[in-house]
Amino acid sequence: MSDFEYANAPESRAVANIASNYGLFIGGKFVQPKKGKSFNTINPATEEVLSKIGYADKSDIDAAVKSARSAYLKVWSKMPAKERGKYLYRIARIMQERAREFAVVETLDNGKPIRESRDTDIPLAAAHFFYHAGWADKLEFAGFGSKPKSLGVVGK
Amino acid sequence: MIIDGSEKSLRKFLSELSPVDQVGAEARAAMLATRSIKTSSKAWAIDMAISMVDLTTLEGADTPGKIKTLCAKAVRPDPTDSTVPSVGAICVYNDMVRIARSELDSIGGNSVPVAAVATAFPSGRASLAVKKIDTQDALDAGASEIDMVIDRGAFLSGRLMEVFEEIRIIKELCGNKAHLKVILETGELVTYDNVRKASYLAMLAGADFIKTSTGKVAPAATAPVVLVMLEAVRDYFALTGTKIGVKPAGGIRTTKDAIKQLVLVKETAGDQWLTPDLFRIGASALLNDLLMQRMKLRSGHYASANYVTVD
Repeated sequence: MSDFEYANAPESRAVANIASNYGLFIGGKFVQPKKGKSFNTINPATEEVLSKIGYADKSDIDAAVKSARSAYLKVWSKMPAKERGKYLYRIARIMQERAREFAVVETLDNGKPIRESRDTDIPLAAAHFFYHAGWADKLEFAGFGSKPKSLGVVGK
Repeated sequence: MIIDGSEKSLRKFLSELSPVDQVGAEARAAMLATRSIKTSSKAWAIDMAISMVDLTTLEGADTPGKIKTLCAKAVRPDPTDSTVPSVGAICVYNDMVRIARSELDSIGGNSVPVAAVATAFPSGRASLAVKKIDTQDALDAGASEIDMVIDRGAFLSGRLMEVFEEIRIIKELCGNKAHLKVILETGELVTYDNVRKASYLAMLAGADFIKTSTGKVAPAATAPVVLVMLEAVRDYFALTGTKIGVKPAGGIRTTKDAIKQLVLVKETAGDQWLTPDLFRIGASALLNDLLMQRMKLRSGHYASANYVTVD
């Protein structure tokens, strides 16, 4: 009965551009972790190594927080809310434009059906950005009082 | 045995069936309908679908001539191509059974069974005595498959044992001579829960096949209904080790529809159900579309409807 086979998914693997190595994204560019440690991320379906990811330690995190804080103090906290919203909208749009690519990469990385990453995960991620972009200049009406303030750089 | 034949045990069993997740069933059926199959599998799927067709004519205006034409088509669906398989069966009213049987036998279609719609088809509104005579009449005329309708009125008003007994008695009449297909008429059962309940009721009472509809009521064989019934036969098999067939009927008109049905079967009941012994499609117009798609696959050209027989 195995004559009955499904066609391949129309999402081609070729759209996924994966570099062999990713560092840490600090201060707007990829840098190598200070101790040079990294870990592999694999495709669970084939166990093929997709890429090496930089592994941060304490000093890398310090650098990241420092850089984020200076960006916060010098740029983001001074920017009018309307302008900040524009950046978020732009991010959401770029995610939508490259949704197909993201979906393929996401599925390669975690092994879930393409249907799920294509129809749920990626649109949902873009929707999150759209949602928060919309809120950016309306925070006074969001129930946090008339002058809501950000916490600044936080980590988890 | 799952039940001991008493009304109490039947009621207990049916009331303990888990309810159907309506939204989930509809979403799953819709999702499965989007699966596309390989071009190489399409040829296989079309031939499989042809051999699963119960070529049906259930019109008041049926004539012996029409039945004979249909028989010729059933045995050799495409007169220009002998590689096309015969259909699963011919499905007619009682009075046409004898004509169909003798015609089939005389043109080399001994292996094509004749199915008769019995038990006061399509409404099922007659006394048990009449239904028995109706069935016996079809059997005497040479029917090897009986498509019976259940008494929806009795089912919906909760007289489950009445429905159960009717199926059991008709099955007894059929014995080993004929396969019994039980038509649930899902378009009148209203909910998927009822479809599941009726499916189990029919299987417990001895049905060899459960069939969606008569073709006289809309909606007929919708994808979620077929899904629920396929789940029922799958679970019944796990429970008892007996394989029951499923036959959607009504509303399946194109090759695309037929292939969607095959995908439903494969994904729900499994590959072992992909055989005419366990899955049939009740249709009349479908066969022509299957033939046209088959021609297209072989020649690369679409033929107009003028190249297949009018039935």
